[in-house]
Amino acid sequence: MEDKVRDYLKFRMPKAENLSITNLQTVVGGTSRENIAFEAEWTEEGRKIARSFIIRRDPTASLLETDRELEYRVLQSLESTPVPIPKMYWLEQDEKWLERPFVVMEKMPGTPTSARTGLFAPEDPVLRAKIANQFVEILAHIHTVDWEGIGLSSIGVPEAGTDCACREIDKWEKVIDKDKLEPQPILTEALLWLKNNKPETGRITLVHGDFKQDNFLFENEKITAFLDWEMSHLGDPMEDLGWACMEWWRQDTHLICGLLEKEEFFRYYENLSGIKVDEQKVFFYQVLGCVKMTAIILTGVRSFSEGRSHDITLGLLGLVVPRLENELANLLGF
Amino acid sequence: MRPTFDKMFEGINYTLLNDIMPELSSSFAMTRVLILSLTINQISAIWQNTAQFPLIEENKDLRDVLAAASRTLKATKQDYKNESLEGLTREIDAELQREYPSGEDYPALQSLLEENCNLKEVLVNTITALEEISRDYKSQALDELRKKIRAHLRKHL
Repeated sequence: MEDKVRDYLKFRMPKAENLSITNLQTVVGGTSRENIAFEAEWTEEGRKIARSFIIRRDPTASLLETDRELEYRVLQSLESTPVPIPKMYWLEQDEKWLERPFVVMEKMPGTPTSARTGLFAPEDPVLRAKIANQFVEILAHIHTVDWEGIGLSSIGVPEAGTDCACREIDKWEKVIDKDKLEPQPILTEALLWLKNNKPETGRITLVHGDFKQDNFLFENEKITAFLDWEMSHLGDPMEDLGWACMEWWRQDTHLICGLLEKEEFFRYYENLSGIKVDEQKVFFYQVLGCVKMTAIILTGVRSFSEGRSHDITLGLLGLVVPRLENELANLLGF
Repeated sequence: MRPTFDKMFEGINYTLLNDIMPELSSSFAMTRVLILSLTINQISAIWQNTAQFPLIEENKDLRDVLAAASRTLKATKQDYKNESLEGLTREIDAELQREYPSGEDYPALQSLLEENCNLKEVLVNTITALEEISRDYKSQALDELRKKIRAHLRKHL
């Protein structure tokens, strides 16, 4: 692998001399892409340069079949905004380099928020409060980005009215129809409810699409990067709030994403973004979030059950679907 | 029921033997992994003999709820004429009458899974039909049927 990566960097940086690759290793985290971290050093026009990179390569099978080009384009466009993201270097579709398409991006400092980091431990509320504030600030930044100004109209602008909700329902219903291995009565109930309760969208914004505590890195009380943009799109900002409000992310607490109280979340978000929180819409998108998360898991379970992936995580997620179904049943008042 | 437990046992064994084992350097750790793998094979064999029981119960409950649906929909047909309602009632009755092959001592797992899948498919069709009917026909009996279906879904989460 090291040789292949070196060959690729030489191809992309023809002026680089004495190129060396070190610490190349697969990084745990995320099941939609395979993440490979490495350090590179080279000399260019007499200057010595050292950089840390991440390769995000398409897996053989995963939870999500997403558009790497879209993620690349969104992240490139966001470079001029206050949203903390890694710099994107190259998008490579040619499979001759690493067998599957991939992107190369800057490796950001910081660690992910697994339970081991202590971020969610009750004994450190000060750190958690600082991170929680930045979490909301980043969401407000995303939702107030001038998406037309940075050229994101090209990723698809929904029409006024219920189009934002319709697009998402349609997208995830298709995934469920394609990947389910058995009939799904609770999802059927939930999809009927969603179709009967589609909200109108007043203001279209950039939507992260997977805004939760697992998707940022932090270091020294600071969020250094928000990652995993493969489900980003233009839509209703309440969608990100609904997704973040899902019980699924609450880390066995009542706190939103294990970080902060719901009221605090909404109030701070409103103050920063100037966007009024519509709790009915948030509720709609929380239901949609549970349906979407179940659809994502069904894709992984199909890959695992058909032997296209041996990743036990995909199988394990399948076994916890009843927790999502329980959340749906509670939300819909079964 | 997806992924099935036998697939999970296969997956755990694959991870132990193909991902973890090559990373180990001590013979003690390698032996422990092999023992874990053998244990999983044993548990898998035991599971093959007991997996039927929860499915037998769920299928029985599914049959009860579909029988209730059939009765309610037949009663509804007297007031509310609808072609798809006729079709659905026939579909429910046909599924309830279908026989599934059984093993010598217990029903075979594969057969129970197939029965479960078919019964759930009819339940999904019933849920969709109830939603359509409710748009232009309201009745307490249909509301109660819907509640019964939802209670069943919650019970078998």
